[in-house]
Amino acid sequence: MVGWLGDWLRDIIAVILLAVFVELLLPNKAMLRYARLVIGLFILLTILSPILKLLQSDVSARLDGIDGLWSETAMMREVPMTGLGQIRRDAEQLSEKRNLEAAGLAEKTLEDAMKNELTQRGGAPVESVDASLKWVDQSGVRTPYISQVVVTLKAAGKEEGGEGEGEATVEEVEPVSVMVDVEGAGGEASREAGAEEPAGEAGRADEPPGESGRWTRADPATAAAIGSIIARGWGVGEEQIVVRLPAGREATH
Amino acid sequence: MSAVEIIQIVGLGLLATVLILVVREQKPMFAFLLAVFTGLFIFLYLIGKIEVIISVLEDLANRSGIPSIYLKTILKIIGIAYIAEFGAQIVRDAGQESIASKIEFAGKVFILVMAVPIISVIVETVIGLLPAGS
Repeated sequence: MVGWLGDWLRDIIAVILLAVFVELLLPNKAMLRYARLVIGLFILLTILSPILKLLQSDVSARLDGIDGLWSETAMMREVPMTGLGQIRRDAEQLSEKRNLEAAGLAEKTLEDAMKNELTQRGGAPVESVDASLKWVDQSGVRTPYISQVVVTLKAAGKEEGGEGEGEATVEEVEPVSVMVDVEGAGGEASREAGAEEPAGEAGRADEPPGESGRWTRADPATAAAIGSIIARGWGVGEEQIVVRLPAGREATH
Repeated sequence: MSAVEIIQIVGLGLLATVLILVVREQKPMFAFLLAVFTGLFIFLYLIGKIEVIISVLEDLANRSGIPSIYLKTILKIIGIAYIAEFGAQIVRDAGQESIASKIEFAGKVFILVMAVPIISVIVETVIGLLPAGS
C-alpha cells in the first residue's frame, strides 16, 4: 500500500517538474497559457490515474490517439496542396490512357474493315485480321501508323484459295494471320504506345512470330493477293503484311 | 564554453543589427532578408543546444513511470510554440502584423488539438464516476 502510494506521488512530482521545465522553455506568454492548459490536463490525469485504473478504461490506447490525430491533420494539410507538377503528370497519364483507348478502337475498326474487304474481294477465307498500330512523333504530335497486319486464314479442308468461290464451298477455314509491317512514318525513334500486341515484336521477323510450330505461311499466291488488297486499300507496305495458316492442317490447294 | 558561445551570438546579433541599419536606407528588402537569415541561423544553432535540456526531460520521464506519450506531447507543444513564434516574429518584422497574429493563432489551435484526447479521457472518467441511471 505504501509502495503504491509512493509510486503515485513520484509520478505526480515528476509530471509537475516536467511542467516547470516546459514553462521555462516556452518562448512567449501567449503560448504559455495554452501549454499550461495541456500540462495541467496531464497533471490531472496523473492524479486521477488510480481512478482510471479502477475503472479499467483503456487510457493508453485513447491517448495514443494524439499521434493519430496529429498525423491526420498533417495529412489533411497535404491533400489540397497538390502541386502543379502533380496535376500535369496526372493530365499526361490521362491523355496517354485516352490515346491508348483511341488506338485500340482504331485498331479494331481497321481490322473489321480489312476483314470485310478481304471477304468481299473473295480472297481466301479469313479467320481474323490483326493490325498493330505504332506511334511516331512528328514534330511534337504523336501520330499513329500501321506497323503490321497479320491476316490469319482459315485452314480449309479442301478450300480453293483465292478464286472467289463463296464460302459455301469452303468447308472450314482456319486462322490465317497477315502481318503487315509499315515503316512508312517510322523514321524517328517512335515511342511505342502499348497499342501493339505482344505478338507484334516477334512478328517483324520474316517468319511469323513464334510460330514455327503453330503457324505456317500461306502459299505465295494467296499471300500476294491478300497483300495487294490490303496494300491498295490502306497504304500498307506489302512486306509488312503477313499471311499465315494454322500449322498441321495446311490448306490444300 | 557557454560564455564564449553567448558572446558569439550577441556579436552576431549586433553585427547583423548594424548592417541592417546601414542597408535599410538603400535596400529595405535586403535588410529584411538579412534579419531573416540571422534569426534563422541563431534559431537553428540554439535548437542543437536545446537537445541537452530535452535529454534531461527524457531522463526524468524514464526514471519516474510517466507514460512516454506525455513527454512526446509536451515536446510537440514546445516545438509548435517555437516554430510558430519564430515565423510570427519574422512576419511581424516585415510589418505584417495581421499575418503574424494568424500564425500565432494556428500555433495555439495545434496546441489545443493535442489536448483533445486528454480532455475526452478525463471527461469520460468523470462521467464514469457518476452513478449510472440518475
